[in-house]
Amino acid sequence: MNIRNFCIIAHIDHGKSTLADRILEYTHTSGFDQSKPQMLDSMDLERERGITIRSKTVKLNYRAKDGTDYILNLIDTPGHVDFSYEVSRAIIASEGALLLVDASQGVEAQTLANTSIAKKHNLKIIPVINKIDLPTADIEGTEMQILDILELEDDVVKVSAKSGKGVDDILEAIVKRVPPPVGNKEADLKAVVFDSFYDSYRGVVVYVRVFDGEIKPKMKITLLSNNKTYEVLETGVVAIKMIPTDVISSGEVGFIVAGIKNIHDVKIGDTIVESGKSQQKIESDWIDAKPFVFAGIFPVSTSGYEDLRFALEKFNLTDASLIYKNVSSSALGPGFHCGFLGSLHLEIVKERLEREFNAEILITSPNVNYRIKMKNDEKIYEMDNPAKIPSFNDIDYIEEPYVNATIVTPTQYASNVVELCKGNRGKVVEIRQLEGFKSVMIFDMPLAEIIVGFYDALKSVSRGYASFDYEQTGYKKSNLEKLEVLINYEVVDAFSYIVHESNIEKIANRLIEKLRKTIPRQMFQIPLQVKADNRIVARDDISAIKKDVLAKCYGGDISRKRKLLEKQKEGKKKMKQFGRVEIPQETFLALLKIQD
Amino acid sequence: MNLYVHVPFCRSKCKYCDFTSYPGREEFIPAYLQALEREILSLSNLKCEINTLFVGGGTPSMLSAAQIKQLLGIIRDNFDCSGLKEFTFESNPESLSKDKLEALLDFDRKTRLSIGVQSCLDEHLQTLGRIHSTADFLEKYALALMTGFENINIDLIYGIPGQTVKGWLVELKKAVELKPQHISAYCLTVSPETQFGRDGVAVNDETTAEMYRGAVEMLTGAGYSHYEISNFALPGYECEHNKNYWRNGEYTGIGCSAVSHANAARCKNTVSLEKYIENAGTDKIKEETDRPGAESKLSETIMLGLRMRSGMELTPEIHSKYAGVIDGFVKDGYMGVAGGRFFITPKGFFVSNRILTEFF
Repeated sequence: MNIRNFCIIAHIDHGKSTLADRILEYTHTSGFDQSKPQMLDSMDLERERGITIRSKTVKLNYRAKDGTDYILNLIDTPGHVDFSYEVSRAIIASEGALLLVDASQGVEAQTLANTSIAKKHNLKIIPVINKIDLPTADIEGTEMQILDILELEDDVVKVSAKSGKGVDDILEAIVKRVPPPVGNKEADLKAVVFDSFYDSYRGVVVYVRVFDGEIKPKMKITLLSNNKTYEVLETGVVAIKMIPTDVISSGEVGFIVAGIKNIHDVKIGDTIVESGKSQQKIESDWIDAKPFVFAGIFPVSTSGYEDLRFALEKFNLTDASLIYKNVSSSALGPGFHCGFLGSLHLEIVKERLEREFNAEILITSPNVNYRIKMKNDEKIYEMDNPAKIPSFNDIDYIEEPYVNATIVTPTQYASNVVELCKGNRGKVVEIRQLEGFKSVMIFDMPLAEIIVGFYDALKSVSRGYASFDYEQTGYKKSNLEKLEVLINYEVVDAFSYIVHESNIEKIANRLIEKLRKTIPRQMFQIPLQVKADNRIVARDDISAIKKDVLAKCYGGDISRKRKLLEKQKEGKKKMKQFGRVEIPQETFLALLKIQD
Repeated sequence: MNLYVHVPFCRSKCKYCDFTSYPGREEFIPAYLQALEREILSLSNLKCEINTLFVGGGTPSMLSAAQIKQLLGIIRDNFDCSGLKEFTFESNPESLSKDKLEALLDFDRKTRLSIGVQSCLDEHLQTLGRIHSTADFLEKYALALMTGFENINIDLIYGIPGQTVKGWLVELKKAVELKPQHISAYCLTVSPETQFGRDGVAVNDETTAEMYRGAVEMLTGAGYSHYEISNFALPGYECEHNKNYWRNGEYTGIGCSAVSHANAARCKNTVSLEKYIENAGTDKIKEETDRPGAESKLSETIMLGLRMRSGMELTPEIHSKYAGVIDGFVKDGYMGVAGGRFFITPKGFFVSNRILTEFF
């Protein structure tokens, strides 16, 4: 059988999902629905936001121009930096990658990041320039950029995914340039997990790429990461719909159902072998989705805790990259401390919890993980919740995570970008000029500076043109301080921040301003203070409400006025009671964006 | 029973007014009076004894003396007025006249006359869109006294755009010097559907809070009891009709937009003058019914009862549900508990919505 396994990697908005649609259409893949653009984006949220969150796979039949029939397995990848670990998922199952670049945008930050992942895994990369029929297309410049920075010498395929022009060239390039899978069908089973999802009827459905041997129903399999053994109940391929098959053989991609109940038992990159046969691991390590960004999720009312726990459990079945643990806040009561892949992931989790689980939640300001060395202790502590960080008096030093941030921008905005990054404690590591007046810049920056508001700020200083990607590099010592907010003289632990000493005043004043703007006046004056290093660095008051009265209430007014007060009471229920002070959800939302 | 009669006519619409009133529709008055009679005849409590009667508006004094007599005749013919304790008639200075005042006293020697004065400064009267002057008011007030009225209320508004705290207290002092038996002092409320609402008129909380404090001080100092959030009376002159509302009592309202409260439900008549005139006497005029549940009912009773300085009885039910809430407010001086009753203090009145919300 002639099989080609490939993925598409691209910067966000470069037309990956549209190209996938065209390929499905061109190969007459049954089940393809022209009325639903971007077939592979199945979540409403993905279609609404125009991003792919989860990778997916689809099997295509293709008869090449020379008459040979091929099976092409397309493995879709997400385009956002938060989900770049998912790119690695797709890559471990493929031999080739279509590197898609928008002709009007040129090479962008995720183009660079994804290319380097694909190269690391020795994938055959086919550069594709998309949107060639746009009036703003700069095909030549884009081609030069691909050669120059990506150091790809291969022929570039030029397409318009929108009109379908050039799609046949892509398919030809795939069968000609991507090597067929190598493997031994007669050998013992060796397969890799590259994706999974939870189905409430069948349990965990596992996407696999078989390298050696074959996998079929009734086979006993073992997951090498945890040595758990299951019996295969079903095998199949995905061609939009899931189609059961008798076997998935060496070189093939498909899904298996094996009565796995817990999605956390299925690690991406894990090796599947047949129980009792060779237990040799494939070379790729399993990929743990590693949280970078942490925040608390709390129910709006304490009575919502059980519902929230249930919602998170269910949610976690479909998105194993969310990490959560119980936490208790003196201000917010019981809730969960959660780890996210990035701030977009955080937003998506919040939106899905609200949308799909009707959960009423508050999210605390996101932060990063810190390494802390105490004065009286040799051990290094990892801390990802500012509220739990002990007094800075007892801390010897504190380290924060740093990243290499890659920013690609039209050169005219380069100095704005440099300024922005310097303002966020970034240091320039490298600047390169590209064809078409583009600059590629690499900064060494604290992760904490880019998790909130940085992306929006970058877009704003570059009129939307700059693109951004980052990878964690390690930890460095920093002069950090803990800011604590006191409302009515009591510390609200949920509003604790770790900030660099150069930002203390700025952030403290913003905190006060946001609190003052969002907390409604109450029957007494509310003092607001921000404390750093045992001194008050900012303060203000919310003055007491002077008037809230129904001047008149006679026979004709009573029903309306009662309903008015009932409504006020409903509004109050949505607020978080902290001591005597009521804090509305807007306050939490405003503090999420404290950097803005 | 307590009877309210709504008269939805006015010479012109004031800029702050959100009552049901129709300016320039005097020609409908005769038909309206007939409609009122039809509605009365359809009442189940026809012929029963009236405890208090309140004719409000609009501007009831817009009716001619003959029309006033006709209206009061309809009431006298269809109810038992022998035990009438209080009869209030609302009026505006520009339309009061000797014959009208006499017609009212003919019905009841102790008629309580309520005059919509609103301000004692012509500049503010203009701002409010009133069509009388301070001189008109003083003249009609004297006329009422001469005709024999012994129970007069005047309505005043504070928080008028351009009004200062000092200016307000000067106006109030003028009113107090007339020694009316009753003064209602209302903070200007801007409803979106009024001219003020459309003009985006804003009321300053700090200023009006100070005006309120000043008014309470002056009026109580002059011997008025501050018996409800916005109402002040010399001893023996509290408005019984309104106190029935605040005790969450039953009442019968007739006329366009009038509300009745009976059998745990509030029913509102249509606000449309035409519909009312066409359908009065049938169920077609009933447009809204509000039937709060038991819990809402208790909250409503508290909302109303706590408008009065005397508050309400601290029943075991209220105590078991709200003891903590009440204690908190007592500690801060917003509420008081005494003699088995609980009440909002003058300090608490101007933020009473915040207090009342806790009882919902």
